[in-house]
Amino acid sequence: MTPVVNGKTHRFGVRGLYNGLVLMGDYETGSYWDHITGACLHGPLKGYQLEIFPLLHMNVAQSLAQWPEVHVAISSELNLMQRLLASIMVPLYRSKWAIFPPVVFKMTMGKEDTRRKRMDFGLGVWTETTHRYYPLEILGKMRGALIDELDDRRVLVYTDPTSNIPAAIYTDATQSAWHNDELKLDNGEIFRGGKLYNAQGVAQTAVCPMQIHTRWYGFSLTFPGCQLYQA
Amino acid sequence: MSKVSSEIYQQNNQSKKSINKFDVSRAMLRDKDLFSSFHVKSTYPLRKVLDRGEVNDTTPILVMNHKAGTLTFLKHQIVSHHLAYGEMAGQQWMIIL
Repeated sequence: MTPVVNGKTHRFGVRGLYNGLVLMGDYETGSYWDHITGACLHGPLKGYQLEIFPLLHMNVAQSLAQWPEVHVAISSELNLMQRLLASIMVPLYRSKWAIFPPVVFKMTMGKEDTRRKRMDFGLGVWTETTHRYYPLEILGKMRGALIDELDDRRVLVYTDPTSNIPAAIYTDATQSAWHNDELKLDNGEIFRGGKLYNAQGVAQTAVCPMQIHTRWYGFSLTFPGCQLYQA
Repeated sequence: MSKVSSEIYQQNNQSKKSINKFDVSRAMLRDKDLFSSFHVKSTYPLRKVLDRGEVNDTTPILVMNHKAGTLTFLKHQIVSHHLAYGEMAGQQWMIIL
């Protein structure tokens, strides 16, 4: 996101909970903001929209394959207890045994969408007009890759075998198939080691729609009535 | 859109209207930060951090694709901070998990 409102930089912090998700608050006006969409939900700036960009989940090898010169920000501000908690939380985040956070989170939730289980994991993809959730379970049944249409553009939704994390990119291919750890597209492109190559073997920059690796409750409460991909 | 996929997406996509229906009665709102945000003042080449053994190939990370550029974060750190912010190429950025 870009924390700039009407040309002025605002400072944000996590200042609330809503729908079982964190809310951002800005220091300057005390307004509260949706952390997924960047929309101001409450306060003097209600209705304002922050500029948003994709935040992708992957592993170190995947990121270096795509951006060999990329930098990393490393915090030195975490104490031992925070580091210990984080080491537990990251594996738990994706675990099928994950329990829902404390009661206070549930108290902030609206009417849930029961088409999927609350803690179901998937990839939420959205544009200005379309909001769609791809359950990991369905993606697994599709052998970890599918091609769909999103606002008249094709998207490849896939689970990278090296990280087991789902992602979506725009494509002009119509079919895909895994060959060992390579995902071959019928336009000649190949996904290998977290990197997209064209038919000539030249590395390509993948263009991504907005997306979030999320639980069903988070996506469906943020985008009520969202589309649910069904194989 | 193909026939099959158009059938799949007959469901109502009514979210635009609903997004702005904020029910303050069930929101938990505070005027102070619940977590300490991470103010990023310096960054390091990920390749060197990998070579030094501070991370390995499978370490989970987050990748921010901002208009100012691309930057990565250690996921286990952002799980604690929740929010990180800084400046890159003269532009302000922020991520939140």
